[in-house]
Amino acid sequence: MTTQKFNLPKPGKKNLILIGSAVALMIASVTVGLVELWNVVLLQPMLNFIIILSNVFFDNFGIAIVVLVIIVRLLMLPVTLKQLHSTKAMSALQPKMKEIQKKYEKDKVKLQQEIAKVYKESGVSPLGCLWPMLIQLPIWIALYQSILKALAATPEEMLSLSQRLYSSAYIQGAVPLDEKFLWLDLGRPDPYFIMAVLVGATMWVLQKMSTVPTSDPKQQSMNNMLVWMMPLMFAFFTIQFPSGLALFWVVSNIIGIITQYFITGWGSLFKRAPKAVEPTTADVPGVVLPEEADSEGDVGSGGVKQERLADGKSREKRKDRRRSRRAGSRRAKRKS
Amino acid sequence: MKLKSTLVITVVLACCLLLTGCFGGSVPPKGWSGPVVVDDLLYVGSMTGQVVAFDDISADGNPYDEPWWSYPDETAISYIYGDPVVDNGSVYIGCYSGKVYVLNASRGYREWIYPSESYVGAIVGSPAVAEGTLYFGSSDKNLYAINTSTRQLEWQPFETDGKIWSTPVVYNGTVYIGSFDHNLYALDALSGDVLWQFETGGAIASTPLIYNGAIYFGSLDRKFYALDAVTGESKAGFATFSADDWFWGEAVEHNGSIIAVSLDGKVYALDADSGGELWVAEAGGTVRGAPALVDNFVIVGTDEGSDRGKLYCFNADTGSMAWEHPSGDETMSAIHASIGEGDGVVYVHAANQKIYCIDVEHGNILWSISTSSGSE
Repeated sequence: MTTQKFNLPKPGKKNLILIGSAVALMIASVTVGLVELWNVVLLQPMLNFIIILSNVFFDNFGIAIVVLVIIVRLLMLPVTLKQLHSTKAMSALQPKMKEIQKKYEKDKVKLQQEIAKVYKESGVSPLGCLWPMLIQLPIWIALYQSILKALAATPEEMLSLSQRLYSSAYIQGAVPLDEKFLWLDLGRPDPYFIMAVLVGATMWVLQKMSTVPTSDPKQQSMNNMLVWMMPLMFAFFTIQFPSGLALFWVVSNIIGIITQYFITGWGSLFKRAPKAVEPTTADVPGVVLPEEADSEGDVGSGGVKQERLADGKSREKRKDRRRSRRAGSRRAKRKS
Repeated sequence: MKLKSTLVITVVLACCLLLTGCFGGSVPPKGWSGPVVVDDLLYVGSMTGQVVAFDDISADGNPYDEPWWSYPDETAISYIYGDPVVDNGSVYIGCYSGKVYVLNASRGYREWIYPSESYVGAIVGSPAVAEGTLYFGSSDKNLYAINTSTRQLEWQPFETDGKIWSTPVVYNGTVYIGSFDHNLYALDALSGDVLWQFETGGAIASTPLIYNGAIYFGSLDRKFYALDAVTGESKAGFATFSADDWFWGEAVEHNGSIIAVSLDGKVYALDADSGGELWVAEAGGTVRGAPALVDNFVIVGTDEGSDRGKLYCFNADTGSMAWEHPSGDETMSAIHASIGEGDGVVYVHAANQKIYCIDVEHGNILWSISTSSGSE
């Protein structure tokens, strides 16, 4: 069984600052009260903003949800792009990492040194895809909660909403929000299950696009499982939860699909999974072994430079090479 | 492969847990029906979705553990937010599923329901019964008037532009009702025609109070209004009063002063003519339900967060605190329901599904009983 390992290098100055900030934030959270800090810093501003948006957009909460998701997505676009690029670069480095792991299996110290060297040369930080994800997570949860709170579908939720509103007459006068949007009552589940289908479909497309193709059969089956499981799980949630949240998921997924398209294209959406053969570096797009790179006249072995191979002529070269390998293996089979 | 499957299942479970955390913001509905006492029987809508009646509730002794009757016997009708209304031997109660139940007051059997087949929108306020007509507002934005004899619509439902969570008040042939569309409406009780409407800056969830030819009510715009009950014009000389949070509970009148409660945790006594503040008393948490006025004392229940609450008793003339229950730093379960009035006692329906009978003079619990015992 092959597993992909992200080997963490020693924390640099930048990471130390980030870790320090996180620790400081944690201490502050404990002092002030984690929940209250969350509410004051994230939830309340977002909740009040969505109510203002609803008032601006003709008392239509559905439009307010769509606009807010777009605004938040746009604000987080640099972070999202960084995450996508980092993930792409990390994926491109994995075959090489496997080679190194295989090569220095018995010498752990050397293994660590070589891995760190590869990261340094390629200019990829293994935390590069982790930090953007961590930054985005609380914002998405807060957005999600603010929609739920603003809906205030039950009297108890309405009562709790009063505690979170700013004192502006503009905001106070805007609640409760109108729950009607298209055929939906945003405070209740969609009775026709259209939103469940839309949530499931958009999430499946996004998952499929963002899945990195692999030739490892076990990894492939796990990917397939996740590609189906997540959309099905969220479609199931949509059947039970207010359709305002479903609208949030659908819009968010659509924007995710558009962003993903501009970074990786359609990805695995229209591609068949590679045949299950023992993975080699040549099977993973954008990665070649140092020797191969040298033979092709490519400079260096870093991931960023290797990534360039994914485009243009070098892609064709690799395809030709694969074709010839497959043809060779077919001939061998026929002989046997 | 086994390890991978375990990993996938763990990830999925973690996602579920994360989503559960995300839904932490939502508050599950429970209901907050206030107790009503008529002829030594206490009626209340329980948080388990039943209408229950307890007998032998005189302050001298404990009522029986089991309710005198409960409807339905074992199942639930729905969440109940409004107080029961007892009129002419029948109990009227609206429920969140969108039906009004009319039960026999002494035996608890169902006399009729409206609508008999379908449902209207969720009912949050209490119904009102006057001159043989049942009035109630619904979340479907309509005010309904039903003839209690024919059990048919008296007039076509009056549609507003917002949900109706307020309780209608009938006075001098006029029905007054607040709506989430920011308006207070006055309708002719016989025809349902609009006599006038008054627009505030926010939704109206509170029940209006009629006193001395004027109508007093608060709004979610944090303001407290007084209007001429006949013309709907602002009451001459009454300055609209502002609080720090919404007005939701119904106000009460005491010796020419209007005592209003707000979610800002304060109890305000206003001059009924000028709207000037006579006194203000601080309760520890939000006050949603209507206060009780017993023996020159005003009693309010609070929600102090995290399902904790307290009961406060203030002198209705001065606003000075007579007692709090429990005293000191201790708290009881949160109180959202209106406080029921009795002879020298108040009845409190707390969020822990218990009814407390509290002596107004000293603030002692005389007895308590669980409203869910019948269904447990």
